This record gives sequence, C-alpha cells and structure tokens, in this order.
Amino acid sequence: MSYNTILFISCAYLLLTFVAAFFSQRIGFLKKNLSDNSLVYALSLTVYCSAWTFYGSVGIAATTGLGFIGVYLGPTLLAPMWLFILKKIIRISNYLRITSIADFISSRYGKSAKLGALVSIVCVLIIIPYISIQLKALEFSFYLLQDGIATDLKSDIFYLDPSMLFVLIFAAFAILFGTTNLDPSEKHPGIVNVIAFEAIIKLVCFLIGAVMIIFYVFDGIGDIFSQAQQSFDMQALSVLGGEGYSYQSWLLVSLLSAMAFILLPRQFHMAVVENNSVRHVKKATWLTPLYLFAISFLVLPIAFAGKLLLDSQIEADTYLLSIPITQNMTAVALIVFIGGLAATSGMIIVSMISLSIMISNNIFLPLLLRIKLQYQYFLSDLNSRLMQLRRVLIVAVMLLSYGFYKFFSINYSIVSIGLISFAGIAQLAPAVFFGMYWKWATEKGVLIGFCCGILLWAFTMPLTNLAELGIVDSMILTDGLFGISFLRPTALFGLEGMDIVSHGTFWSLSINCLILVVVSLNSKRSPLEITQSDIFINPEKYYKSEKPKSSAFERRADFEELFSVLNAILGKKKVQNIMKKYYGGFNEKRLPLYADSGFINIVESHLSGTIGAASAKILLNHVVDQKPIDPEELIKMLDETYHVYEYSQLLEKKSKELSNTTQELKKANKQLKELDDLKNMFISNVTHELRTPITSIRSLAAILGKYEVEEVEKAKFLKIIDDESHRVSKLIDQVLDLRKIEAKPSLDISTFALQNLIEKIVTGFEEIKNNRQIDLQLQELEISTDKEKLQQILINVIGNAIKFTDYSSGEIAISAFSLKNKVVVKVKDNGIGIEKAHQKKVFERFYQVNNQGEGKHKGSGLGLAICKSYAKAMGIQLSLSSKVGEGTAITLEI
Amino acid sequence: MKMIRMDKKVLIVDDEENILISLSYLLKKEGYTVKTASNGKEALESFKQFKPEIVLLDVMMPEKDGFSTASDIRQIDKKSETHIIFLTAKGTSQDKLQGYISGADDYVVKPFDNEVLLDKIMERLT
Repeated sequence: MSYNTILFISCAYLLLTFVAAFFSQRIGFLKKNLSDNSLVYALSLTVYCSAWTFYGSVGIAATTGLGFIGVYLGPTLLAPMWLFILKKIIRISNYLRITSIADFISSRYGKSAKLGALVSIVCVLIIIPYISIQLKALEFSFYLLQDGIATDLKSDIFYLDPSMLFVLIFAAFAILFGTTNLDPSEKHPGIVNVIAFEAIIKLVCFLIGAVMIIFYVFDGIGDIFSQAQQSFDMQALSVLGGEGYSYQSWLLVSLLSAMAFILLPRQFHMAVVENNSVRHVKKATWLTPLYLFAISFLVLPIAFAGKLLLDSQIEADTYLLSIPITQNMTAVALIVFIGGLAATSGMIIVSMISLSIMISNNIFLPLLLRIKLQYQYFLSDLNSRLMQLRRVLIVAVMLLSYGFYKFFSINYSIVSIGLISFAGIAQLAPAVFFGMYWKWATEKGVLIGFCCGILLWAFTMPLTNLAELGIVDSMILTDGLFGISFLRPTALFGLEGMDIVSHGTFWSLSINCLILVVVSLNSKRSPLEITQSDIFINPEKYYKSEKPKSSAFERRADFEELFSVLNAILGKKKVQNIMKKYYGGFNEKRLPLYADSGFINIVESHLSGTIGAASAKILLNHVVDQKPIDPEELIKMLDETYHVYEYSQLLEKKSKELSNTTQELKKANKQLKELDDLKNMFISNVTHELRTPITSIRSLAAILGKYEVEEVEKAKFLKIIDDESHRVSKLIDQVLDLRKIEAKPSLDISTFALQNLIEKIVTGFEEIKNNRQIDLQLQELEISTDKEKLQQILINVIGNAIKFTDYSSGEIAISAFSLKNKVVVKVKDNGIGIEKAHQKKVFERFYQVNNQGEGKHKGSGLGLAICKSYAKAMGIQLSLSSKVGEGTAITLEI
Repeated sequence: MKMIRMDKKVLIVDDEENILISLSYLLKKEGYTVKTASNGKEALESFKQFKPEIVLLDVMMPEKDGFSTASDIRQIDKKSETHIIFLTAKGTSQDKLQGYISGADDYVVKPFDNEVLLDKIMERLT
C-alpha cells in the first residue's frame, strides 16, 4: 500500500473523530450533555488501552504466555473498590475543583506548591517516554503496512515522517478540544465523547483482526492450540507463573496496573476531572473490566498463531498486523492499523491535555506568581495568556515526545517502557492513599518519601535500562554504584533473584511508604494542612452541606483588590454571578467594607478550578489578610465539626425512624377506625335485628292480653311469638359464637359421610326454600373433621344461597367430589351476585353488602366471618367467585 | 267512639309480615280501616287509591326506604292532609332528624307500647 494511501486513510479517520468531537459537543449544547452518561463514562476509562494493549499484549503473550493478563487483571480485581476509593476521590475533587493528579496531591498537603511542581515534573518525565513508544508503535505499524515487511525505523526528512504528521494532528486536536475553556473542571465533553467513540473503534478493529486470523487463517482456536502443541512448548506459555514469568512478577504487575488505572495522569483526568456524576462509577465497575476482558481474551491464540506462521525475526508486538499482511489480507491489515491509530491517538491526546494542565498550573503559574513583576504582567490578561501557555505546552510536550522517540525509544519494546512508567506512577500511590485515609500524613513526609521512591525507581529501572543499552557505563550493573556491590541497581541491598520490575517496584514503593510514615509522625502539620486533610479524609462532611462552609481561618480582603484578581481570571460576568449567589440581595454599592472568609473561600475554590490549588493560594496571598491560627485549636475545631456532623447524621436517621413509626401508627389508627366503624355498624345492625322480632312479640302479647282473640287468630299469634323468640335467641347465639371464636375454636374430630350431612341440611331448608330448585350432585365420601362446625359452615353458605336468590326462579347447585386427595364442596347459585369490591370483604366480621337502608337481606354480618374462622381452624380453604346478576359460587376444599 | 274511627283510614307499611299482622289486627280492633303494604312502592300505589289519614311507615325496607317513601307521599299529598308516623328500630337522634326532614309528623321507636302508638294516632286525628 502506498505511503499516500495510508496517510490519506489515517487523516480521513482522524477527521472523522474531529467531526464526531465537534458535533457531539454541539449536541451537548442543545440537549442533555452526551458525556454525562454512565456508558460514555465507562468507555472513556478505556483510554487505558493504548498501543500497549493493541499491539504489546500479543508481544508479551508470545514470550511469557499468560503473563500479559496482569495488566488487565489488576484493574479488574480493584474495580469493585472503585465504589469506595474512586467515588471518594471524585467527591473530594468535585468539592475542591481539582484539575489534575498533581493538583490533588498538592491540595491535600496544604496546597503545597513544591509538591505540586515535583509531581508534575515527575509525571512529565515518566509520560514523555510513554508517549514516545506510542509514536513508535504508530510509525512502525505505518511502515509495516506500507512495505509489507518490518523495516528498521529511520530518521526521515522530518516533514515526511508520518509520526511527525501525527504529532501535529494530535496536538491540533488537543488544542482545539482541550483548551476551549479555561476551567478544566468545567469539563471537555468533546474529548470524552471521542474517547468513548475510539474505545468502540479499537475494540471492534481488534476483534475483526483477531477473528480473521483465528477463523480465516486457522480453523479456530482449537486448531491453533493443537498446532502449537506440536511445534513448541505451549504448556509453559498457557499456565500462570510459567517460564519467564514468575507468580511474584505477575502479582506485582497486577498491583502496578491497578494503581496506574487511577493514578496515570490521563486516567485521573478521565476518571475524576471529566467525571460528571459519582453515579456513573457504578456501571464502570463492571463494564470497564468487561471491556478489558473482551480486548484481551483472544491475545493468546494470536500470539501462538504468530509464532506458528511467522519468522522468529519478526517482532511479536506486530503479530496482529504482520499476520494479515503476510496472508495478503490488506483490508484486515488496514482495519487493524486504524484500531491501533485509535488506541494511540486517544492515549496521546488525553495525556497531553492532562500534562499541559499540570505544567501550567503547578509549575509555571506558581513560579510566575511569586515574582511580583510577572504577576502584574500576567494579571493584565491572565485568561488568554493561560490559554496560550497551555497551547505552547501541548506542542512542546508533543515535540519532546517525538524527540525522545527519535533519539531513545527506537530500541525499546512497548512493554518494557510501559511497565517502567507504571512503576514510576505508582510512586504517587502512597501520597494519594495515605492522604485519603491517614490524617497524620504531612507535606514533609510525602515530599521526602516521594523523592526517595522516585530516586530508587530511577536507579533500579530506567538506569538499568540505560546501562544495558550502553548509554551509561554498564560497569554499574556488575559492580554497583561507586563500586559498592551492595548498590547494584538490579540487586539493591543484596536482594537478588528478582526481575528488574519486581525488584525496583519492591524497593521504591516500600521505602517510599516507610519514609512517608516515619517522617510524618515526626513532623507537624501546618494549619492549612490540617483543614485540607480534614476535607480529604471526611469529604462527606463537606460536599453534602449546601451552605458554604465557614472557614476555620479568619480572612478578609479589600473588595477592589480582590476584584482586580478575580476579574482577570474568572471574567467579570462569572464574578458577578458568584457575588449575587453569596451576597443575595446586595447591590454593588451597598457591599460590606471587606470580603469575609466565606466569600474568599468560594472565590478560592473557583480560582482553584482554573489555575490549581497552589497557584490560587499564592495569588490570593497578595490580596488577602489572614489571622494566624493555633494548630491545636484548629484540630479541636475540626474534631468538633466532625462530631456535629456525626450527630446530625444520627438525628437524620432518628427522624427518619420517627417518621416511619408515625406512618405505621397512622396506618394502625386507620385500621382501628375502620374496625370501630364496623363495630358501630354491627351494633346498629344487631340492635335492629333484635328490635324487629321483639316488636312483634310485645305487640302481639299486648293484643292477646287486651282483646278477646278468636282461637284461630290466637294460635297464629302464639306461633308468631314463638318464631320471633327463636329468631332472637339465634341471634344471641351468633353473637356469643363470635366471642367464642375470637379464642381458638377447639375441634371435635369424627368420621362421617359427607353426603348425609348435606342432605340433612338441605332438608332443613325445605320450609323456606319456596320454589327454589336445589340440585344435589354428591359423591359418596367419608371425611374426618369437626362435623358440628362443618355443618354450621354449610348451613351458612347454603342459607346465603337461598337468601340471595329469587324465591320463584332461584336455582342452587350443590356438588361434592374428591379432587387430588382433597374433598371439594361447591355451592353455586343464580342469585344477585356480589360486586368485585365487596368480594374480599364479605368474609370480614360485621361486613354486609347493601347494609344501608335496603335491608331485605338481613343478618348480623357475622355468618361468613364465623365460617371463615371455623374453616381456618379446620384447615378448610374457603373461596368465592361471583358476578353481579349471574350468581355466586362458594368452594370449600377440605 | 268506634263508629267515629271507622271512617279513619290507616296505611301500615313494613317489610316484616309479623308486624303487619299484629298492627293491622290491633288497629282494626280499635275501629280503623286498615290497609297494609310491604314496601315503599306498594305503599305509594295504595296511598293514591286509599287516601289514608294516617301512614305508619317503617324506615328500613328493601328497594325504597321509609324516608324516600315519606318524601314521595308529601309530593302527592301537597295539602298535608295525611299524617306520617315513622316506626323504626333505629333510634338515634340523627335518624329522628332525618325522619322529620323527610316529612314525618311523629316518630315511634320499635319495640313500642301498643297504647302509646294508639295515643299518638289519636293525637294526630284530633
């Protein structure tokens, strides 16, 4: 493929991402911010997967087998912890408007300018080589695609050099989308969207390449493995801790990767600075590991395929590209190349943006602001000057990386430099994690610990490499520093037998932690460190309260002087907004004489979001007066505020409990009231039911006493008196029954024939059934239960069926049969039916349908309630189905 | 006495048959002309033809209760020539109030003394 074609296609792809970034940003203005989405967030974290993942993993797999997995396993294993650690970092950073990892550390240790600058410098020194190897991978793949074979990389005329062109394109991209607004904590949605987009591109390209190799060149994974088994010792490569890669180094790589996933400047930038909501973290904890798995699970087959197909002279890093090229699959090769371009460009662009923020905020500004003269010059138009500075820095970092690549990296493999970078970045871990969980960590402790860690790292890792390359006298490897064998870079203090990365990581990290702890315990925290550490350790105390925290420090500033600083950096409009928000109804003419601590705090946090915590502090020191404060007093104050916070948390919990209890009480009260209403209705019903028969009895008795009644009439009257007396006593029995069944009814079990019982009951109703048809379909069944109570239930149910059907056209069907070891009795009628709303309630005590005024179907409302409680005691299931106008069916399952 | 009452007509409305039996016997013995009805609808029918001086009206009846029957009777009997006496097993003061609102002249709570009922009827007629 010709140089121009590849260049054209690359530029077309990059133009596509330009357009994507531009339009997604535009959409962001119109609708909801596209980057404020947990899916986009999770994908943007995969900026972690650079050319190292895309090409390098296959390289390691080819030489060390499963060793490559550590790089993905580490972040995957740590992922569940993001819910605590990453969320905490995000909350702190949101509250303090942190702009970078250097700003994070500097802010924690009293907004230390020294620490911020040191961290920034170290990050630059570590990341530039890292970027340079990305460029190498890119250029290498470019030439491979052009010439079909790997050629030695050479220094071309620089403007024809593809990596130079890419450098310029990436820089343009970073400048366009990364320096559009000054306040980095105001996010760059365009960049986030593009990184998420590239995440998909690189995964898809990788999978296409891998699948084509596995299924087109070979007959699937099984085929590759069986061929591999015959041609080389595959066993050693497909087990963990196999040849060339001990468990120990595997474990250390996992640990380094887990830390790098959060601490690398580009990772911190995507995961923390660009984060829109802590809620997005949850999805990332499973989606991002899933992505890492998807992009790595086909690595081993490809590595084996490469070993089987290709000359051992060909670098294993290039297998993914070399195999399609040698198999004449040009399209696949091109797709793979595009994937590699996506992986590289994402990593480089985000790294450049985060580095330019760090350098400008933590190195340049603090330096410039310390010199009065420059301060005045800078203030005149800080905003645009800062922008220019960042743009220059981006170009400078790019050119430095390019230079580094051309002079040094040509001889390195991707992975060796990658791992060394990881180990270097890991030196930030003690400062970050002690800072978040151990309040006694001091600036001094971190400064000395970090310096020692970095020196040891430099001594044991990059130096060793330089010595091996012959750039530094290689005598140092065998004889040690100053000829002391105790100080050999690969066997420091006599620790031998470890590989370079494990050895170096072990010494640098452990000494770093040890010194941090020892020095911290022996040094005092400044007041500012005390207040800052309180924010880092208990962020929930701060970010939850909506009111601006009153400061522990008493500060004041002349408004005019303060405004001169603020307007230059934040712009007049924003300053006025902050004023309005803080001072509410005040207009400019009626402001207080001095700005108070609360206002200065808010202003400082806004400034920090633009120029970093350390720079903001230095800047404000020019215009703000501060009363000195006693550290002891400060600690006491913060402890108190923590207690107040804890107490208010407790109160909140209590009041929640209280409101729950109130709810329950209300519910219980409502139930009681309902029960009370039912009881009143019951009493009214029972009274009515008692009064009616007694009316007849009393009236007739008086008639019999007063008049001479004829014999026929007399007999009739006496019969009525008798009947009505029965009615009264029956009612009394029912009321008493109800009382009885409130306690558990005792059962009197006997065995009897069911059909006899039903027939007997039906005969009992003979007198009142009039013309109603009663149809019996009874199987001969013997059952064992309480006969008395069953009879009462059936009388009630059948009685109801008669009561609620028409006396001339009523039809009642009673059937009894056995169904799966149960006996079922069904009583069906064609009466008035029961409305849906009433169906459940008819079994409740005292409940009567149509109980107001239209009292033809009279009763106490107790019948079915008694049935129900009997049935429950006897283990009978009582159910009802009904339709208004069509009738009701009641089923008993015994 | 008996002769005077013969031309006084009483309509008894109740859904309890036994009460109809006892009351109509009592009032016939006292010399009234008696008719019975077992629900509100029947009551309105026979009220139109029978034109009684007294209506003894039960409150709790199926389909059409005593209160609405009383209102309907008052619609027909615009000159208030008929006296309505409620007979009811409901005795709360709220029930009484509703009774008077719907046009009752008097209110007797069940169970009642026959003599008290007869007195109340007499009271209405003189």
